[in-house]
Amino acid sequence: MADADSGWCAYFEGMQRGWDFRFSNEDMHAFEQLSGDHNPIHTDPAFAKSKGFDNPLVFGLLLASQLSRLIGQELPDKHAILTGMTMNFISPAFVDDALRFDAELVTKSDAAHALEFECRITRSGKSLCSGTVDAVWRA
Amino acid sequence: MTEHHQNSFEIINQLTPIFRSVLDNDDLIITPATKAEDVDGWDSLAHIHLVVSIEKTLGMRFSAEEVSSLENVGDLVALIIKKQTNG
Repeated sequence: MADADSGWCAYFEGMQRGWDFRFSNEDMHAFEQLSGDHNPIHTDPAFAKSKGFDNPLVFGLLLASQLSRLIGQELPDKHAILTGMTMNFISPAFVDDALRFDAELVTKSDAAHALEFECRITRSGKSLCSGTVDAVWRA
Repeated sequence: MTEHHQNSFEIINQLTPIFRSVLDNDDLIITPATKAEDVDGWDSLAHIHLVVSIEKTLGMRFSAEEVSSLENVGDLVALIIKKQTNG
């Protein structure tokens, strides 16, 4: 129990995590197959241009995969379980864009052992999407 | 200036939309006697969402001990009143 308590203490409001990442054509293809989303806006340059975009759009939920990485991989331990998320997509991301994910723990509820992070994905400092991710902590 | 402390009725009115939103039930009626087992969907995960939503909406924090001792909505209301009264 002492170990569990010390684990929870490793979390604090204001804690930040961030990393650089990018998506390749192979990532896009894999996500298309996994999700079953074959909309050409994500794969066909001509179709994307017809909709007013310079290139096919990275799947929004592929961007959201970084929330899974945050909760499952980037926290002080492996005891956090994702319980909810919101994401607002502000501007599109494209294949091979140099992207940046940043998150900050904004709420730590001792009563519920619950965590809420605010998250943002940026390209060259410009926000592409923002959102929140909730998790519970169970040691 | 005298600080206004809510009574039980006011707090139940404030909690009801939180419970309805978290439990996705627009017709849910809660009373001081309401327990988790009386309400469809009020499981352990929903309980976490409820506690966090109540903390945010009311602008107060509970401890794990305070929450674990609650047996019904009435206990929750009493806890809220106690925190409002004690600051």
